[in-house]
Amino acid sequence: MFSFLNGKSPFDEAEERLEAGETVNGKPKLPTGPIMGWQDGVFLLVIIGLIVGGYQYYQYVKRNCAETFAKCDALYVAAAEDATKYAEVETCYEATWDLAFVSDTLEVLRQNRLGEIEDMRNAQKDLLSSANDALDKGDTAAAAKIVTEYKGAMLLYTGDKSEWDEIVKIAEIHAAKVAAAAAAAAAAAEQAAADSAATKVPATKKNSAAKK
Amino acid sequence: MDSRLNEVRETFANFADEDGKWKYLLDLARAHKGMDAALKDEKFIIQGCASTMYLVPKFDGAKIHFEMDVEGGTTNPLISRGLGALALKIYNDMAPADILAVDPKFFQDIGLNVGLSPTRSNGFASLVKQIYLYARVFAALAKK
Repeated sequence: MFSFLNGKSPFDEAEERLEAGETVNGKPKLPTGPIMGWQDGVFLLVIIGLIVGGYQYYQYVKRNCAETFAKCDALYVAAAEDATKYAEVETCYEATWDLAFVSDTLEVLRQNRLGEIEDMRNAQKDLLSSANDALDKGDTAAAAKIVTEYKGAMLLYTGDKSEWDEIVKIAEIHAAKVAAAAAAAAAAAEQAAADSAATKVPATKKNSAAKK
Repeated sequence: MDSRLNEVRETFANFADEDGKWKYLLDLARAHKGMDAALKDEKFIIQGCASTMYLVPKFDGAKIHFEMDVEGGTTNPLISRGLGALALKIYNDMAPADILAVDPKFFQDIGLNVGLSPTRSNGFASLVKQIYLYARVFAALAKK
């Protein structure tokens, strides 16, 4: 056990002096020496240091937590405008697992927002599954449509992500083919129009010559 | 059995706001003891959960005892664990027939699904479905 004043209180000491006959005007002579030894002083300082340090650390941890969550919240608000930012939001909230202190309110917020992003990931997984089904049926156009129409964040994990990227490549090739076909059709239409104009001109010339 | 249902029903009725429900689930999650790692076999994983949820049943001939745990990789899926703990609060250590007598709509009636993300909602539905499946199997075994 720790003890201050070497286990004695000033009153004990005064009592002892009184018993020993040390009195001032009939009252026990008050102790005149230091109220505690240097060891007790050091011990007290250490205790005060621990309390103050602990409090400061707690404040720091709280402030750090609030700042990190505020940053994630700002990202979450921005993601409402630009859905691609949800991946950053998730990374930000994932980083909060390292925080030493999270209040219940912030814990609920974190759980709900990560849950929301998990739902988005599942929705993207469903889209991937539909795109794969379309590819299996040989309907490249439908698969391409699914991946190109998706405007959300890339939330899929590695394996699913590479599948998605593959379909995006297929979609790009498909789009290029469609564009090439469209360009060829346009060129053919233009050529046909030019040919038709060319065949009409001599006829007009012939007509005007005939009129003369 | 009714007392368990009434207790949970009353708890949910007394929440001042949505946050009350989430905090209650967090408390349940924190109070819930995990399970022995040796019990964590793939065959006990609940399908349809975003997190990895294990539900291990043990039938002593009269009642089913469930062990449940949730793993979320780098995350701490407290809400999912809280949902699992809530299910166990209702169904744990009950006779198969008593489990089957509980209307699973109970959770909807108390408003558990309100505000619950679709993934968690589906995961919870899968968990409850699995509990009823075990109850049916053990009820049949008990009859033999």
